[in-house]
Amino acid sequence: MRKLVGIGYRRELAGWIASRPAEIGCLEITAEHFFDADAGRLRALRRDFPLYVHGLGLSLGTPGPLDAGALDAYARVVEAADPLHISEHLAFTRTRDVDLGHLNPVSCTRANLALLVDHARQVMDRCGKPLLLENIATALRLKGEMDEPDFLNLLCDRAGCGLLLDVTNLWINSRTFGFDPVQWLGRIETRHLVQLHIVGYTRCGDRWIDAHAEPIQRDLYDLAGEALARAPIRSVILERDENIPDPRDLAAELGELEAIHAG
Amino acid sequence: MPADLTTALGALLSDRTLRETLRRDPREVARRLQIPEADLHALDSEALEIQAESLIDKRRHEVSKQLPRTMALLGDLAPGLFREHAGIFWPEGHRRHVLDAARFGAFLMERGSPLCRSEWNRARFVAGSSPLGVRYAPDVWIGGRSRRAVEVFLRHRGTVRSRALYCFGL
Repeated sequence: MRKLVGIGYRRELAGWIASRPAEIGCLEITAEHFFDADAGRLRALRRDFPLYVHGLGLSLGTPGPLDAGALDAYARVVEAADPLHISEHLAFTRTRDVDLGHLNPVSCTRANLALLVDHARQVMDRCGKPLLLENIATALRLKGEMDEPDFLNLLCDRAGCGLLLDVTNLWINSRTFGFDPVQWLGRIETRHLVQLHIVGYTRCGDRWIDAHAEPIQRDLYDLAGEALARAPIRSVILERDENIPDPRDLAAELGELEAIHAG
Repeated sequence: MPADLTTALGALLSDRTLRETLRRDPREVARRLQIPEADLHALDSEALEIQAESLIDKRRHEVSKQLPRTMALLGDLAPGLFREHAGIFWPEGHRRHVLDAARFGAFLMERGSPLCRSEWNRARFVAGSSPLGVRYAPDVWIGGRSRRAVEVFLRHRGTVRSRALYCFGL
């Protein structure tokens, strides 16, 4: 299968993307950005690029049933985009009492494993596409019954889904919690790794955050290289939401990722 | 009432007072949230605060995109005022950022705090569902300066367009 390097679709980049630059081999669209949009826009994008649909708000880690409205809206986007695969975060964004709106961690417990397996299967059944689950960056480490790599391997095995490894989030967590990201990577079953996300991290006082606002740093290229050397990863997506630079700079980053991917 | 750590975490992350109580009296919080006290002892209170603050910071950042002139008018007051608003309102759904902006504008209006009415008009229209809106604002940005004008908003195929009608006589 052809390896793909591409970018997360953002409105600010629409003009550049419409010019179909050679550096963009695929596009990832954020489902929620298209909930109110005309399906024709997605059909036009899918004529030009292989697409992936990425979700922010299914809140797979919320106990209880999935939000039927959010899943329906997500599935409508998937239907219009006809992506190669779909993805969501290993996180919760809401509970039955409050919608926090952003990603929060779930503890690596047997109960959460069963919950996530159930929710992941429901999403795949509803959308009819393979699902990838993405690791998040967090300031909060929760006590669990197993460690994260074991949890992720079990989750992928039991749900029949893959992993979207966010290289930047892994790197940030490794600094926040003091572990070796390469060792962590070595404990993930390589067959589960399907796609990478990457963007530069942001230093914020004595912390690192995933603001999607900086060019990719060398240590992230190196970590991405480790992942690509170990696993049959099919695609790499550059995510940039803030401080969006000149397209030539993004093209250079994509070129470097392509070189690592091909290498 | 929560009986699992995720639901309890949602309550803690959204409620500063509850987090303060947790530092003083974890047993009381465990009782209120109906989870084992040991689960709360396992939480790093500093990390919990950082995670909670990051949620508010992300919201403020998104609202700043909707209300840039308002945030500039508020200056150093913006973070505190936004935190106060954010503590009492959590927007829901995929239009949460613009809903948040609309409600923050209402919060500022009620307090008599600086607010760019033109931005607020737009946020309120985008947050709603009507196909057409007509609103007056004393601070519409036209020709490089702030003017009194009537703004017309149109919603078509998920896209919102606006046109300002400059009102000399107002």
